[in-house]
Amino acid sequence: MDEVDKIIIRSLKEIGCDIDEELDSLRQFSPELVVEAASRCVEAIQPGSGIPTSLPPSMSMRFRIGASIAQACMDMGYTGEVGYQTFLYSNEADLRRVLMFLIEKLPKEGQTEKIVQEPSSRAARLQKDISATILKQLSAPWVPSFCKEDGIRWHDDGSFTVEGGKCFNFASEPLQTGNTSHGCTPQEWREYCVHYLPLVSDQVSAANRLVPSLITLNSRGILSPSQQLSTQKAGELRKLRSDLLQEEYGKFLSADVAQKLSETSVKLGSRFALNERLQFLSEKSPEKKKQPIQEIVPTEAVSETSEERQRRQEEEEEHAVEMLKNENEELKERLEQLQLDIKTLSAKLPQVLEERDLAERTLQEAEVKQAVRKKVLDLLPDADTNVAKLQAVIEASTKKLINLATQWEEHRAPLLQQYRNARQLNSSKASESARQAEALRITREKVAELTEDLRNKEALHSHLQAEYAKVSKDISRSAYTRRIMEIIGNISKQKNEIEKILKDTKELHKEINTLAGRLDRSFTVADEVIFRDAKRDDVSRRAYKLLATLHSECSELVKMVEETGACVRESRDLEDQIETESAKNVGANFERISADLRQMKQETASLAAQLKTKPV
Amino acid sequence: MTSSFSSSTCHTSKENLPSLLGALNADVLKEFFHRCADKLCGRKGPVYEKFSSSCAWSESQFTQAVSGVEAFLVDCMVHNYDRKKVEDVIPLHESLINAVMNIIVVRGDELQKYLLSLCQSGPAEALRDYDWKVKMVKGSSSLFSLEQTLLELDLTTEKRTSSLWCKTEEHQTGRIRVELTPDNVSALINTLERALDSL
Repeated sequence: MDEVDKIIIRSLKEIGCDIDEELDSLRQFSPELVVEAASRCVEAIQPGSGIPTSLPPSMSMRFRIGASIAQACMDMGYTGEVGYQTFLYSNEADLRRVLMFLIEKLPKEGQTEKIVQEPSSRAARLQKDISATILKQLSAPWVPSFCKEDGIRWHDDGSFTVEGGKCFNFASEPLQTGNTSHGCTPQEWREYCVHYLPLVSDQVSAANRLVPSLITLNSRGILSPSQQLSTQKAGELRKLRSDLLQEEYGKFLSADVAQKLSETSVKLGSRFALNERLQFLSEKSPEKKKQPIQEIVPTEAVSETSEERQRRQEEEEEHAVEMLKNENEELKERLEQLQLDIKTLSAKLPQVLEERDLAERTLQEAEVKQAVRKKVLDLLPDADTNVAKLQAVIEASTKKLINLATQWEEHRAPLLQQYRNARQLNSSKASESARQAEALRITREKVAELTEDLRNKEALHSHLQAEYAKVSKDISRSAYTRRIMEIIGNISKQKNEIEKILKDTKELHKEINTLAGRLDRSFTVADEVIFRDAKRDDVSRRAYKLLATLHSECSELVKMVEETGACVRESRDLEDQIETESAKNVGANFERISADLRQMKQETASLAAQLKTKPV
Repeated sequence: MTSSFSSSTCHTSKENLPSLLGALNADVLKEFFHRCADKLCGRKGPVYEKFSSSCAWSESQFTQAVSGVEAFLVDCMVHNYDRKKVEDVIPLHESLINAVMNIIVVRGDELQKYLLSLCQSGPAEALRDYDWKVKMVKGSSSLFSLEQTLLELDLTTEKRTSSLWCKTEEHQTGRIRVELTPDNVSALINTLERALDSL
């Protein structure tokens, strides 16, 4: 039975019972443990049965739990005798039967867990996740957008998906964090950073631009790390930038003006036109403003009727509007004229500039020619001596030239050698670097290959581990099988022995029967012979009587032997019965039951007392 | 040069500048100048509500002061004003002039860099930012399993229509959105790398 108990304990541990390592037999189980084991089994077989796994202190609750477990067992089809006493006042054999039944009913792992081959690569996993998410979203019912805060939708299992919602564009703005290089003294910079530089969160125009701006700032910092320059160098740089800025600014403005001029529409947005208009307005407006005022003053003095005054006023206004219109027309014409002029002039400008360049060039050439001619004319009067002088000069310069050429050669040769050496060195260096680059590339490829290999190996490792976890259970299974085979072998051996004994018994029976038949026959023969003689002889008569008594005595003896055998059998049965009854340890159970009964009576009494004290 | 090309508001506000700024104390002036410099550098500019308590300007005066200071700072950067020139342009109390000079020194580098970048981008449309998303097309109505990866590239561009120097809201932002397959992306990256090398 030890083997069975071990199997039961192992199975109970697998479904999560907290069983002490030292326990190896059902005899050692306490009622609490029995109830926990049974209720866990029932929970595993029928999830949601709601039977508590621990015994409460209240006696009536204990009985109720025991009864509900027993009921669950009967519902599952347990045919044997089962009740609350099976669990609360357990006896080993009943408990073993019930637990074996429950463990047989436990769901097998192979039935619930399907073996799913995990996709090994990351891409495949990602695609699987995407499919699962889309499936989930498609199967979920529609929800109005105001129920989804920021487009986040929560599912029943606690996960969430993003559906719609606001999505801001990634738009960054330049930020100043105070660590870039600067062209002032550290004290000034420090003062600026401490007092006047706003926090980065205040520098952006909208809150959703803060994170993009910070990301951009960081990536710029990574791409071109700022370097602290010396003050002198910073000053130089500053000057350079300022010059460049002036230049660029000039260019920009000319480009801007050209663009404006090319817009031939009469739009007064052009700056030239605007300026001119302003100029003309300022010229004319004083007169324009004065005129009506001068006219208005006398009208008031004459104090005409209001209608006339109004009429005159209207006339004046019309007149003024007319004048303004005319003026406007004039201005427009003038503007167009001016723009036309500008266009023709700017078209002519390159041509004129070119002509001027040409003229300047011819002038320079002529000047050079004139200088040579003047020198020649100066030298002409004293021709011979001058020729000699010139020849001397020429000779001297030739000598000098030759001298210089030799010197040049002297310098050139070592320099050339040096150049060649340097070039050779350079080429060797280049080839060396190319070789190293090649080596680097090969190493990188190798690294990539190894990484791929590693990933494969890891996938294999996890796969094998999963398999190993499964296999470890199979070891106990094989042990069980082996044990079962042994048991089967034992049983067949025992069966053989039993058959042998049965055969012996049958033979004995047969022998007894034959012996009893022979005895009967010999007795009948003896009886007949002696009875025949007894009629004539007294001795024979006595012998016959003795034979009759012998026979009856013997048969009595046989009967006694048979009875003795029956008694022995009966006593053996009774012994067995005693053993089983004593295994039920009725005494202890009886004590426990009476203690529980006392407790229950107390509980009932206290409840009754509470009921009485409670005001109706 | 600048004054002739700045818009008329700048022109007038610059004339009023000494009288407007003269009413401030050095700290408020510094704060105000720094915020105007921020605005020139493309960040958040001064806010009237913040300054209304510390100065006695009306809202229109405030706008005038902002544009005037901006034009002044641009002139400073372009023509490299020294202390004397600053005193000529905005005749103020010595402490205020000190404050202004301090700001020009401290923010000079930043302003120069930003104005240069503005000049160089010119009037054409220029890339300001970009954003990207990776998309996976699982399938279509005709194909059950397509498994196509796409990159959605958003290019934010900016075009300044006029008057760069008196920055009023005159730049238009545009958005160019393209979807690229992996081949397109690698072609784009190669082209950009080649362009970078040729610089």
